[in-house]
Amino acid sequence: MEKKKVTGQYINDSYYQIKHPSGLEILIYPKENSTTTYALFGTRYGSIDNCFKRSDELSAETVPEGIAHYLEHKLFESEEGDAFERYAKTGASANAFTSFDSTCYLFSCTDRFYESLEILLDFVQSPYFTKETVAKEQGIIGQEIKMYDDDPNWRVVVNHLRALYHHHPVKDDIAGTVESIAEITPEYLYRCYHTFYNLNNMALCITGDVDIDGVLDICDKMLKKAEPIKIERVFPAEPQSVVTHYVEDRLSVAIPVFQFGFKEILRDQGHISEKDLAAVEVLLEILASDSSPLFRKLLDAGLVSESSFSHEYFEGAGYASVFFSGESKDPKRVSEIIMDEVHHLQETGIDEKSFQRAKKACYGEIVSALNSTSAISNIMVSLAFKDRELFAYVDAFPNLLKEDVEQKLKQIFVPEQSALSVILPLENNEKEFMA
Amino acid sequence: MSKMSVHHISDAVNLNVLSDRRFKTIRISVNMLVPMENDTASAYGILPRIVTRATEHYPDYTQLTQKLADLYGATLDCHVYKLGGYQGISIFVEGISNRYAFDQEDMVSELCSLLFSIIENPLKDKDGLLIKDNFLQEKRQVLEVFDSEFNDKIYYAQKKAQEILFDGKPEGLNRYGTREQVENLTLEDVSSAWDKLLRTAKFEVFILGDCKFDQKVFNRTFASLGQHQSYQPEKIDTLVIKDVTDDMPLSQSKLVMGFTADAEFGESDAFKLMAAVYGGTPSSKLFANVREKMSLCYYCSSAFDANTNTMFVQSGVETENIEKARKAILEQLEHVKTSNITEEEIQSAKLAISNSYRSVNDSLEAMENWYLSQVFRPSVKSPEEAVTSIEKIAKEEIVSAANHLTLNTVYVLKGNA
Repeated sequence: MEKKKVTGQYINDSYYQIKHPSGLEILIYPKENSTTTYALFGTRYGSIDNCFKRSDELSAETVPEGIAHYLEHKLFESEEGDAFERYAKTGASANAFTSFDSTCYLFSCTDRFYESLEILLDFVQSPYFTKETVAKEQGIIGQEIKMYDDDPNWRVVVNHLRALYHHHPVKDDIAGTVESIAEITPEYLYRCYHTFYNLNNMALCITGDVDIDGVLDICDKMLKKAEPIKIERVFPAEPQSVVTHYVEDRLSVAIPVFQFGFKEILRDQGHISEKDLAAVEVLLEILASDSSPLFRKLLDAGLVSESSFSHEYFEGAGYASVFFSGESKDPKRVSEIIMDEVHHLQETGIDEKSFQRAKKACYGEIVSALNSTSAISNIMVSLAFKDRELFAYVDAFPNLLKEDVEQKLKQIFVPEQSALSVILPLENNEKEFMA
Repeated sequence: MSKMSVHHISDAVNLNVLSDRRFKTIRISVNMLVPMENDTASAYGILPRIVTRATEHYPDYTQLTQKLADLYGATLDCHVYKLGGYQGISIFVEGISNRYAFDQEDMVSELCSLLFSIIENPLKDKDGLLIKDNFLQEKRQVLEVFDSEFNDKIYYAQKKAQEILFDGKPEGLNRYGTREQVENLTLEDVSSAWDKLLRTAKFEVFILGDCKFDQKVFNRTFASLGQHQSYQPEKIDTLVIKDVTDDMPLSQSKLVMGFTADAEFGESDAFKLMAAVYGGTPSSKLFANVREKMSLCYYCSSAFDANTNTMFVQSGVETENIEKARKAILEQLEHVKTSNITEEEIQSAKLAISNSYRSVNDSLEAMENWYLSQVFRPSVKSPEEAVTSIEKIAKEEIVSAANHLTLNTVYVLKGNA
């Protein structure tokens, strides 16, 4: 088994990349004297993967929304019991999550790591679904959906995605809807499981004070060789335009919540590289960080607060957008000021001082993140699932050129591509609660 | 494992130092602890926000934030929190350590200098008042914090339950006081409050991460500040259970139950373990039964606060199941009280706590919170010492702890959407 050692140019850390004979990509980031060890076992399968074609089949298949998330819940169960019961014996703290394009199972521990690793590799590779267990979960997931329905910070995002995307499944709720999950059967679950939980489609990342060979021994023991199939994700054709420039909803909030963004026009499903990512991060830092003229304008006008205004580059298979979000008394005015500032920056160009400063700030942020075993594992798997690599990303920042950033400024911020999503207070304003 | 070493600069000031090259960052924080009181809460709460907005050397907000960005995205920020009946005012700096700076800049010096200038000489106008514009900006933003807390229903329900349980006592007051108190703040009041804060607070300063520190420099800044403070939670008698329901247009209701504990201050390990067995882990009684077996709640957990000797159970539940859930939650507590606990349940709770405590060693912020949460207790334990103590606890002590709980408050945010 070939172990490739990868070392950063600016950060003198190293990790190991191994392509296991079973098909699984394994990343091991040794952290000497770390108290915690964090393992993450994930699949490139998320809520957007509702239509797929396997390389060993002739046609594509469409499934109900919410299966990836449903599977995440159900996989913890087996005939003998529950994975949480097994972890309870080793003391590991375990969890899982489903995102738009991945499902990850993880644990963090300070003792008995190898035992917990066996549990992780075992239960994720052992699907077990019956009519009864599937039916039971509907109630729990139904409640989870309702909990998120009440959450203005989640609703503003879902509404925004629906305003930006006509057909791309990124506009659908990750957990599905109460109606769509009612259609899920054990057959669907097994079907999707056997397609996407193929080790060639997955990755394992471990960060902590571990012995590489010890980890690989467990992998040799536990991993079942996977069929070398490829999966093609089928997305409906997505127009370049946005659906609407404005969407609003009302919830029990005291101050409006907003998300404003620009849908990027993607060329030919082009691959977004580490350098592209870094360029957009630096651009957003220049444009909207708390040291930016834009932020100062918004703050002085009383339109945003230091603790709630944020920005993000949201991208994946077939979608990419830049978001600005927060809480504000007047979200429409915030979006106008952002638009003006973007226009202004496009005209004047980026000055050298701001550029250098932004590079240093972004670099510093990623270095700080590498303190944490959980952050490292999560970042590495998230990069790996998009064919990117950690140190290529970290080292991209100091090596970035101003032209790289200016190109993104022109490319992403097209006024016709913008949309604003707002959650407003209910009309009968519950002032009596707000003491 | 690195050990926190404590330097007593005076009766009022402690320096807590943890030098550890495992970290790629440094964190230096000044925590000022004062009694939570109605007439000072809002002034003290807004102060750290004003003084960290701009400094004597960087008197403009954007100038200061640009300096921080130049320092590789360093942070200069503040945090206001509660510790039992005390209010905590924290001003801190964080940044990457020297060895990651492109030109090996002295990050520790730069960050300390920013922090000390705030403590020694916060930015004032020619009349000796804090800067009016900074004051107005932060006043607006603190009022928005109240709004933000209202938006988060889980947090809001928990806060309401605490207010009701503590019934006017300092433990139940919001960390910023009330909205009205904030609205009534004046620049003059807030400016004079700064000196009072520095004079009367108990100081806990933390120097953490990949850095060396010069004790003389810290002595100079802090030796003459502060005042000795002590705190112990008062015993609360429950004459009648407070049952409060508020209707709100929500899809999911929130049910929060508050219990008081008859515990010795600083001797509450059995209560912590009991809370874990009862509802602190995925193998706890609440999770396994109320959520999994009965499918009554999407989340249902319990947590014990050793600084107030209270335990709260939080749950998210369908409106039509509120009564069922309340019954089920109390039923599970009865099991604990009547010794209906398996060795497995106890073992898994001990392992979970042990994992959680030990994990503290890997985060500078977690380390600080760990030691900070113990500052008023008769003795301070490291994470490892706390693990050893928890591991020794026998079943009878868990049962006894459960029997020393009294249900005091039931708060429901009833969804009617």
